[in-house]
Amino acid sequence: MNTIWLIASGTFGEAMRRKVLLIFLFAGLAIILMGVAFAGLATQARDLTVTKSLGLGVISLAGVFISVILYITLIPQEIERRTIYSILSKPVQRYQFLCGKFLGGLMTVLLNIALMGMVFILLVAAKQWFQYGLNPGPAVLAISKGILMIFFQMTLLGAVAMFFSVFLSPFVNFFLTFAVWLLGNASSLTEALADPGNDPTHPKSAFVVGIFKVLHVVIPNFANYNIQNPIINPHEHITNEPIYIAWNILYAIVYTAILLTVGSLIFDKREV
Amino acid sequence: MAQDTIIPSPDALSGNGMAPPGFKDGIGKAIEIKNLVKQYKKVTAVNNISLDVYEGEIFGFLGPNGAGKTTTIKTLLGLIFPTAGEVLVLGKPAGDIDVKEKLSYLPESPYFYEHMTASEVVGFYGSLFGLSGTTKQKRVDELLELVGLQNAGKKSLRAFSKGMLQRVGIAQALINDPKVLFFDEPTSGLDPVAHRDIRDLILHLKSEGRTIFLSSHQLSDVELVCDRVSILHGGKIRRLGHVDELIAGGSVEVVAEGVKATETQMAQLRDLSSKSELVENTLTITTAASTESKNRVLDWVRAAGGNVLSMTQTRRTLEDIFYEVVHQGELETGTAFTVPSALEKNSMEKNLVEKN
Repeated sequence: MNTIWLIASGTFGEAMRRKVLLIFLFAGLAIILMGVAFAGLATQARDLTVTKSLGLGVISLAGVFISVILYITLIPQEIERRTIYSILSKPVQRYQFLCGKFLGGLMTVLLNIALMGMVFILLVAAKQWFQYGLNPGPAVLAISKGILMIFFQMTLLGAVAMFFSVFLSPFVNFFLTFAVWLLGNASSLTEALADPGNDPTHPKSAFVVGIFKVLHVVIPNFANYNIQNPIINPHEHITNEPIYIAWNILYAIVYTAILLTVGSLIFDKREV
Repeated sequence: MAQDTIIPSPDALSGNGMAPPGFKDGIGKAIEIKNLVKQYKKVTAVNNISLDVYEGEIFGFLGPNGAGKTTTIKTLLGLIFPTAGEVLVLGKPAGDIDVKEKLSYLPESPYFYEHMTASEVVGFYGSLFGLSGTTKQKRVDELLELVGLQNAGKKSLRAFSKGMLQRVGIAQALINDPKVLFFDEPTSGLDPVAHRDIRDLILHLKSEGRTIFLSSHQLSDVELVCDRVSILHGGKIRRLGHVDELIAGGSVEVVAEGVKATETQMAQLRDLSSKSELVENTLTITTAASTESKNRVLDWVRAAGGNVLSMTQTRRTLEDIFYEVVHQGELETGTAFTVPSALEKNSMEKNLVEKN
């Protein structure tokens, strides 16, 4: 565990200084600030809806870019810069290296999301309290849950990108990870396409149904982590919300563990 | 210069029984490479090489770019896997975690996490070996002093020159007090002072009984520090042996005057010498540097009534051998430069004079 932690801390220190990631962080923060400032031009209800919607959307999108760009390059960059040689020639197992890189990346993603999230929560709380005289507590709690789900969505996305980075080039990995993310966000669509249906006038090809069934099962369900609607709209609720959140967090952890295990097995055989 | 090509026997090429000078028989083998083949799709990067490196020796691993040196080193470190053959380091398969505790690697132009200081980087690698606390810090300070960075330990690597990074690389390579060191171009891009410091450090490491596997294009360094060398070309070992043996030979130039040789004596001279040139009354004879050849030429001069004016021995260098091997390899593979170098032109002109 010490070795994994050492590699993770080295990765975190290096990743936090990557300009491309800082651009997304600062762009995200700037949009959140502007969103909070300009949404005040609308009515109270509309103002809070726009602020929350924009803020969570920006954190999610910036998180996606930070996560994908970071994870697709973590391993290839180590190979290109040859740091991997001096590390793997030490008594370091390949799975320790991979897990360390993943953990370091996760710490970076967590810090970026947490920074944007904290700024966003503070601004929303200030707006609720000072501008409209509302108790910010419920909104802060709801937004925190939304940010937590975004973080676990990014954990899952990072694991997908890291898994592909073990055997694909960053260029191919970028598009493939995005494709997985888009498909994972459209899980209701893949579910519908995987349904053979019972309309005899429009029979579905068994092959196509089979492909979508596999896709629906294999591709992680990113859509489950988008809980913006109940946060934005006070009339919408998630049934058994704590269980829903806990279940999806567990899903992200298990899925990530599977991807890292398979990734480690492949990386063990990979020549660097 | 006479081209006394040393054609190694298959046994010599496999490295069997070739302990370096001063080494007792039965000394442990630090590295054993047996019939190593590494194939990348249609390209054979390493083609059935075998060699042993003994404990405590500095072994020079030479070859032009693309000869298969880095591929072999990566195989020895367990970073890549052999297509065929066997690779053992300290008696265990390459990549074995116990072996990694006892070896170290300095890659060419090493890169380290730039946000760290020199002290942190060396400490980071120390932690990978389980060092911690004051033991680690003491070792880090000792090594930074050894590589002359005691005053730069707190500086960020971002501010380091290439030479300073190389020193950090050496410090990290020594953090575990390794038995076997793999150095890939340790003096590449260094200024003459740093270059010499690192060369001296390599000799110091040898004096401590460490085994060093040195890949370098700095042939003068290799000649100075290495016990044995191998020269690779096209994935094959073309020469393998003690440095002194490889550069042995050379030629002797005998200058004589007043030679009045008969036709028969001139015919004898052609057998004795590799080259002879008569200018006015002075005859210059070039022959192999062996005592027998020298004596036969001297006897011939006396028999022909001449006086020996001078006798000069020309020593071959590792660079000569290296060039010879590479050129021979290029001719075999048809990859030789078609534009002759100044050196070659000079040699060709000389040959024409000899023939005329």
